Amino acid sequence: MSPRSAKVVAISLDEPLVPLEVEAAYDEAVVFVFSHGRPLGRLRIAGLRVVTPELQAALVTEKFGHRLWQRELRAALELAAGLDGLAQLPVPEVTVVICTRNRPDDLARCLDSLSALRTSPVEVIVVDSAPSDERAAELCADRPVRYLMEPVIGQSRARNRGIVEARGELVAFTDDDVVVDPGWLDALGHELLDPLVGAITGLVAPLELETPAQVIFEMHGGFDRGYERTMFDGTRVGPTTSAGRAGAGANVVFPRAVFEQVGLFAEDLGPGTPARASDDNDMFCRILEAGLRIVYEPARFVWHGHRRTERELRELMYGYGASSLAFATKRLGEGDASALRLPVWWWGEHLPGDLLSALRRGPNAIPLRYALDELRGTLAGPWLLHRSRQSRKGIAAIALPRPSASSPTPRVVSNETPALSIVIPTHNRRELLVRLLDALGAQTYPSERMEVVAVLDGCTDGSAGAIRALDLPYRLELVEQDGRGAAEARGAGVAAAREELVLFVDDDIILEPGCVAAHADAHRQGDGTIVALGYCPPVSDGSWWSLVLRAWWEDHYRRKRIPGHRFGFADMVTGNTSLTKSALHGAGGFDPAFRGRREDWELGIRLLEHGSRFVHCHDAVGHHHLDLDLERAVARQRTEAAGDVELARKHPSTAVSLPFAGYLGQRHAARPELMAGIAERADRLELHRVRRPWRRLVERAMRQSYLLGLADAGGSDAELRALVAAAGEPVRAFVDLADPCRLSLPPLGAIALEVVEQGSLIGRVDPRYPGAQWDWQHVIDRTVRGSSPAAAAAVAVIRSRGGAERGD
Amino acid sequence: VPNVAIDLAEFDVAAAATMPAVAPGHRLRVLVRSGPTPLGYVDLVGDGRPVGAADLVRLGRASLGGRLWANVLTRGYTLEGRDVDPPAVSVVVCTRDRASLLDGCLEALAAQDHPRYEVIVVDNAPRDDTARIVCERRGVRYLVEPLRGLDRARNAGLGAATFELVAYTDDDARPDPGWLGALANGFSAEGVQCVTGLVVPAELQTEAQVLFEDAYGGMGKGFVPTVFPPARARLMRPERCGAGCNMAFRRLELARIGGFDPVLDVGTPTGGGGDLDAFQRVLEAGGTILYRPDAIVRHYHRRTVSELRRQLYDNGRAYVAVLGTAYGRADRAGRIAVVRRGAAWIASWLLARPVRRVVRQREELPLLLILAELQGALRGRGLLRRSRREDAAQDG
Repeated sequence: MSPRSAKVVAISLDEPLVPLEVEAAYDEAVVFVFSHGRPLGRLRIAGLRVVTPELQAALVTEKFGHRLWQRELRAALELAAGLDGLAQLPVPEVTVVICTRNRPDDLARCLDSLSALRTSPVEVIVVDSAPSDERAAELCADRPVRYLMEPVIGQSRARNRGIVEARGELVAFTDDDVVVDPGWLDALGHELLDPLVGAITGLVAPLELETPAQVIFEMHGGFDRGYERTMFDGTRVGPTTSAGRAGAGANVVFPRAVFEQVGLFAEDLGPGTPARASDDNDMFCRILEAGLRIVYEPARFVWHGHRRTERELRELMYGYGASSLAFATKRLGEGDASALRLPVWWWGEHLPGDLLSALRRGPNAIPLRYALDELRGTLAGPWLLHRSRQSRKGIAAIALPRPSASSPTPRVVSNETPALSIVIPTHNRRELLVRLLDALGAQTYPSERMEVVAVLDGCTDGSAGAIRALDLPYRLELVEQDGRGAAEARGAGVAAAREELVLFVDDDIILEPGCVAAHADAHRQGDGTIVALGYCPPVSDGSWWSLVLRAWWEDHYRRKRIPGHRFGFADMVTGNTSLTKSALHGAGGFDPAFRGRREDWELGIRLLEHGSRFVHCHDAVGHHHLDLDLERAVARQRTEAAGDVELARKHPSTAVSLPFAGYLGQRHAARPELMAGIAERADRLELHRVRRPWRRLVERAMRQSYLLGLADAGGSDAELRALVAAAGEPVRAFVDLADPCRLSLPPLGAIALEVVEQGSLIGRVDPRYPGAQWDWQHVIDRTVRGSSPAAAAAVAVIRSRGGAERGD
Repeated sequence: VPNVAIDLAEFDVAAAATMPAVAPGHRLRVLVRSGPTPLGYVDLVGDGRPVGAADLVRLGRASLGGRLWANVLTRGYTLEGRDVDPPAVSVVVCTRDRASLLDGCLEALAAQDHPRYEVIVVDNAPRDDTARIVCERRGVRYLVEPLRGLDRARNAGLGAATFELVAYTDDDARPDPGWLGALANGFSAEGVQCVTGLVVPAELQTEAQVLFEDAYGGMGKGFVPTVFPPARARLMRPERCGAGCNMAFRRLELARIGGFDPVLDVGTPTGGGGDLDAFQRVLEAGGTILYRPDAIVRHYHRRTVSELRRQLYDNGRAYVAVLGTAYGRADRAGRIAVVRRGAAWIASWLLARPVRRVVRQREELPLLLILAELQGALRGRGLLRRSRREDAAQDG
């Protein structure tokens, strides 16, 4: 079958549909359907010259009806959650970098589309890679772009040049053969709420499908990576195998800081080198490997002009095969055994399928010569990598300039900022404690307005002596007690504190210079009911466990930063938190019965009951030096489980939100032997980089430990059930699809979310444990994913009937 | 004898209609629609209580699923009331010695919600003049096609049609008031050469009717609007496009590809297949077929098992005849496609059914009826040849 040419059209459901004309030159239409600026999917319409709006609507709803329902439900829920505020977050500065080589016509088209962007970049850099003429330079001369000439050939080198020169906080890459959508750089602000996002990729759609080469390329997969937002989390997915699925270099935005963590593009890969491509794959792979995340957001889309001629396409197919195997070889050389999956996929799955269908001439088969080109490419890949490296000998790779150490901007401290006492409970962590006390000395906040109360709780490592030897600019009070736990230590510290405002800092947190000032600022206008929660980004040493912990903590803080977050007791962390003594005493202070486990949550509950308000201070930064010992972390799960049971006994209404509510009926599964030697086994797996078994092992150990902890607390399964049952009716909250509006949720108690349409119940989100911390995004995702066609049908019936009744 | 009858009813979700009470143990099949658009069936077994709209919607949610929702969306995305009047249509009804059935069909055609159309009745080799009397009483055009054969009658109707669009239905069919409008509107999508619609049962009172509808599959092609582009021709599946009692063509375009094949269909040894052959040729000639479920025709299925047996026998031989004529006009690649389709049909339809029936007991159609279709298929090739000979003789 000869490839068919297709007209590429975009239709939007936000405007009335108009008849769609397919000229006689085309065999069919490939229709990209958008709603509210987001792509819904693509539709092929063959055999019609003019498609009526009626028919378009019928075909669209038939194919995308469920997705449209999910979008509508999601929009209503996001409005209820206040997540619409995300779009208004300040937009960071973006530098757009385009690497080009001898394609001035394509480049002009790309630059034209960039000038129509709704969110303008702070600068556009064109890097001309080893050009053979001046055309690109001339083209750029009369445009508002920065033109750089990179004499050494190679796209990755050109990219690196662009990165080094970029001023923006974000660096957006697109190719010269691309036309970007006007909304390409919109709403980037909220992506940065997650500091772990290392790249934001998007949809790459075909600009035209006119020639057989273009049709074959698109039929063969093109760049299509779906129409749903997807997050690739480096702590969960294999980096080598996920890199290719995460996106393409033709449409990607990187936070500039990520290059400081993972380095620049590999100059021995990519177009212009013998290895031909995969520079983007390699970068994505390194980002994932660093435990960072890649977000694929189809709403961020560009149109890519596929190569028009057969010669170019064959070169491309050869290049894909070659570069993929070159990349796999490189990864194998770096000791990543999972890279073997790439050749297995090519030779075991992809190529046999291509060759078979080419021989059988199936309806979507690619011609045999292309499949053979791919095969040749894969065979040449490792050799080409070698040649590529040879060709780079003697050329110094571009290096990132060292970041200049930014001096802290001194905070303007007004006279109204309150003085405060800093309470540090500590137990045998002399080194960290000394560093913390030093960091407190370097605060931008005036030393005379703060005092530090260090409570040495059963310290046997000579902490007291070490502290006394220090020369500190602020008043330091030392309280010593004999190992009664952090809760009592904090209580003793508060008793010794002179000021009304108290800042609790844990001994494993090293404060940044502006931290204390940020806390004081948060309380400046407060009425004494504010509990200011600081931001403690964990310090990771690159081990898998530290990456997992970092992801967990960063998610914890990210949720608090999202506008409309429902602050609950699980947001209370005492490591870097300030509040007034009156609020603390009003709530009854720390409960010593909860020593070392859940005392923060327990206090949080009482604070909320007594009318305190939690706020997240993102400027109050303290670097959290986590305990990275896996064995101790597992053991901690056990005490926390016991703490949870105690907590549920003391505050029955919380039982339903506590982790054990999700473990009911699994108590018999507690098998302590599964936890034996967990650290060694995990280390072995990490050494061989087998990610999934490692993750399974750790998760299982954590769960086992938690189950054992439940047993320790003496909670029989029946008792736990009774605790959950006694939590009482959840608070019902309604989201009306017909008139969605912002919900305000009470801080305490389980929430049952009910979706209604004109007063009729459509669906209910069950209030079972979704994680103790309220997470709107999780709740929305779960609700939307779980929503059946029946729910949509129910809404449809109500709307049909409502319409009929109104019409009468 | 268990009560096999299924009562039929309709329910419009958009108009707050009420349903009749269903006697205990009685089965009711409700065609759920939203205004003109059919959405699907909901089957009920009565428990004596009246069926409320809420019950129906609850029962239907799962089976109708997203179709209800898709329907609401569709209306939102098209501007309502923008449709201009549909183009004029000539409706051709071919009949033979079934005046009482014909009368019901003409009554339904008189009630069409369409501003401009004509009805042409083609009486095929009539043995009496009852049809003529009915037509005179109803005031519709009456033609006689003296030579036997449904496709000859269809061609006679095509020749006599006044308007650009020609719709076909049968004397045992009862078009819904919106039928003609929906078919005619289908042609506003340029490139469409043929529009077909949904066929639903007019009654399911006898065992034969229930067997035909539920066990054999009936004549319905579902509730999803579908475009069959010309590329579908190579799949050789014209039976998916529609049925002869509910189809419309552009007059000149149909004439250009030669009208209906007189060798085929009722009244010739092939016993059927004229409609499928026309669909296949429309696709092969580069035309597109549009299936619109909102063009609804109710069809009286055969009432007795012996009639049904005859019909399935006809279906078997007709399908072979359709494949045979397609083979005759195809090039090499087309012949491969025909043979492949024939083999698939034999394996997955003709042979799989008796196996399912006998071995796995998971086929509701009685063996007698299954074998009737197989028998028809076995004789199909010879009958096609005979039909060709007879046709040549008649033309000569």
